Amino acid sequence: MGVRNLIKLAMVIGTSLFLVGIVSFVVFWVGNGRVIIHPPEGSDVEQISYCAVDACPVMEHASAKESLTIPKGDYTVNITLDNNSNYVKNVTVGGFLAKAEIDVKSYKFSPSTLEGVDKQYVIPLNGGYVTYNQDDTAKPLGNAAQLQLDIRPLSAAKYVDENNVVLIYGTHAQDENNTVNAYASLYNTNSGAVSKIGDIDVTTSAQNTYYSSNAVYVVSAIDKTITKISADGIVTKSLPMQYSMNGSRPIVAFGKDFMAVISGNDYSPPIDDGEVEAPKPIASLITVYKISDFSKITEIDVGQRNDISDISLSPNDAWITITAKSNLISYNLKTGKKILSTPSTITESEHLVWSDDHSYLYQNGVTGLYRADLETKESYSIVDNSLLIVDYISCVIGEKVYLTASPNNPNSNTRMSQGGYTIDLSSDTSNTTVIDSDSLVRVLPYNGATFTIGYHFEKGKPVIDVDARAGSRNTAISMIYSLNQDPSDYMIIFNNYTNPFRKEGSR
Amino acid sequence: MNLVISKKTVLVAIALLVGICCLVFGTGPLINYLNEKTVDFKLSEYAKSIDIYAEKDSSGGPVASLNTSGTIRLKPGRYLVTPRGDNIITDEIYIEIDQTTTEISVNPYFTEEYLSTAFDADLKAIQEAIYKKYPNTIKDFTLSTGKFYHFGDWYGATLYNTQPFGEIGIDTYGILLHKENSWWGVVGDPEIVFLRASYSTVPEDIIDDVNQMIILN
Repeated sequence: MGVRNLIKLAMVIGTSLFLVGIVSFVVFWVGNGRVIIHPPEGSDVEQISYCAVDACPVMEHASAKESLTIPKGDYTVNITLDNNSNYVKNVTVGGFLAKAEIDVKSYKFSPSTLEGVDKQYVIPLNGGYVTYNQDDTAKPLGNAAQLQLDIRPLSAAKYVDENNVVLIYGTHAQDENNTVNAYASLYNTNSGAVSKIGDIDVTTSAQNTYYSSNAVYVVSAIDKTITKISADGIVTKSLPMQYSMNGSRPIVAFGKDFMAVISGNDYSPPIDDGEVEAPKPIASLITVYKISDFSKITEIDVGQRNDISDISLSPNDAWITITAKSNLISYNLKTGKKILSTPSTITESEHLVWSDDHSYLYQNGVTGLYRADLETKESYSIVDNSLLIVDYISCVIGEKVYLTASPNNPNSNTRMSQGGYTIDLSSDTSNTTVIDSDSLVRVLPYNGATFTIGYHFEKGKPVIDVDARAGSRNTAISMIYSLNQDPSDYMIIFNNYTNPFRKEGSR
Repeated sequence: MNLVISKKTVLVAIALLVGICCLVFGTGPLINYLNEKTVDFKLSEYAKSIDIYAEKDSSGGPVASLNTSGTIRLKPGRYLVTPRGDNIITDEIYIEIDQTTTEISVNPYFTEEYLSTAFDADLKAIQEAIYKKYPNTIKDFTLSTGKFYHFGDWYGATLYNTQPFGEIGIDTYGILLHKENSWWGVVGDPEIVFLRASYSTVPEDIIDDVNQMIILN
């Protein structure tokens, strides 16, 4: 082979490599898109993780903190901020290196304490509240004390409209062979009147009690019946369909007019030693029925899985969320499309509570309380992740969340609250610079020689109370700065004080 | 092996290469151009010029400069604007251009050095405004040397109580004044601490500075 031919060969190979390079670049360019992260003012991104919606919850961690270049598709992106909060957004990434932008939001609402006794659930009544659990009698506190409760355990308490609460007293086992049947009462919060709705013929417990926006349902796996308890009365029907079980709890859900069941899901919770039995996954199907006549509305194929412990219908029957072993996945009922997956956690996902027709609150892992919004396809922490270990989200009434929890760090100044906590979500959630009042709660109250600094909450916002001698008020304000808090961010009330200038200036 | 490449093949290969190059290297700039936004930069009367740097590459040269108000095409993103002029703060100003940005105002304040001397003539009017609003209470207080802010249109100071045994005690107060239509007026009332929520019309940097003045005095 001559030199000339070698040159020709080199040219052909070079051109081929060049063309391969160009084609590869074009393929990359066509097949990939970018996700650009915009953190909120005053916060930085600590970590970005993401998963393709179909592959969630197993997430990949990105090394970059501002942007990702990933193959086009639908993704769940989880952004951890340096202020102990997380923001999760579902994005569609297009090709041609098109940009999908994420404006990260950061919310921090402050928990207020509810004094009381140690119970699992809490529900507000008449400005006071009732704490209860299934093994002990309920305890009304504050203005709710006017409600005379039964001596037997309250197994459920549920607002079925703005003014009426259904109270269900669970089956009371006197001994192995002698039980007292459950019954339901209706409590009118306006008049204070309690009227018995009726006896419930099946065994009731927290395990087989379900909630919708307007009723409480008891499902009997033994009798294969559902019992609807509402202000209108008690109705029991036989269940004609098959459904999977989570231990002794049927995996069913109730909305306004629809109910949903899951089949083909052989859920095996951890056994005593923490090991998990692993039955072979089989196709799981959610079927939605009309409660009135059990006519079939729709079916959603949720894939081959065996880890679904619960399902939940939105109050308006538009969405359904499944509680899988390590995350929550929401579907649009009409289209059957997957809408939002929450990131995976090291612990099992707990239950969720709907706060409106398209949003729900959920726990994620040991700490962290989140709100998911299915309309905007996002979820975000609503309290500092390091603040509370949430035990149970009892209910959301209006914009107030009621939950039981304990302080995450025993050395922190977060108050232990036996009765539970409330979190007021009525602050403007579009405001991304919400004050971190959690840190204020950790450093107050403070007692100085000539002043005390305390706090209380008004409409969910912290108010600083300063009790200082004349001449010591500047020192008290200076101390608030020393505690690394900016007093100008809060409302401050000086006790026994009138501003002499305001007095004259307002004349 | 004897490779024969005809002229026609070479020409087709070159045309193909040129076409691919145009597609690959031309599409990017075209998309970039289409992505750019026309932004109207409005410079204040004190800012004589500005340089605009891409935030990610602020150590490199400016991506654009202006000697007067005008429009510039910029890609959406984050930028740093360096203003120049007499007696103004020339610190970098952070801006963000997104799909909705059409106008950016560059309005840097006067330097502290300039503010500390240029507006002394206003002090008499400031004192008169305070005495007029609080003719009685102010008798127990002394106005400390305060500070002008921004364009000399804001003033903050502290008020010492000269009657320590009086009923209102010896707390120190801060006072804020604002000049509008050539007239100085007291903003709200003197306070032990100014709260952002109660004084939402006052720029936050002034609230922070006056609050610090109160506790340091």
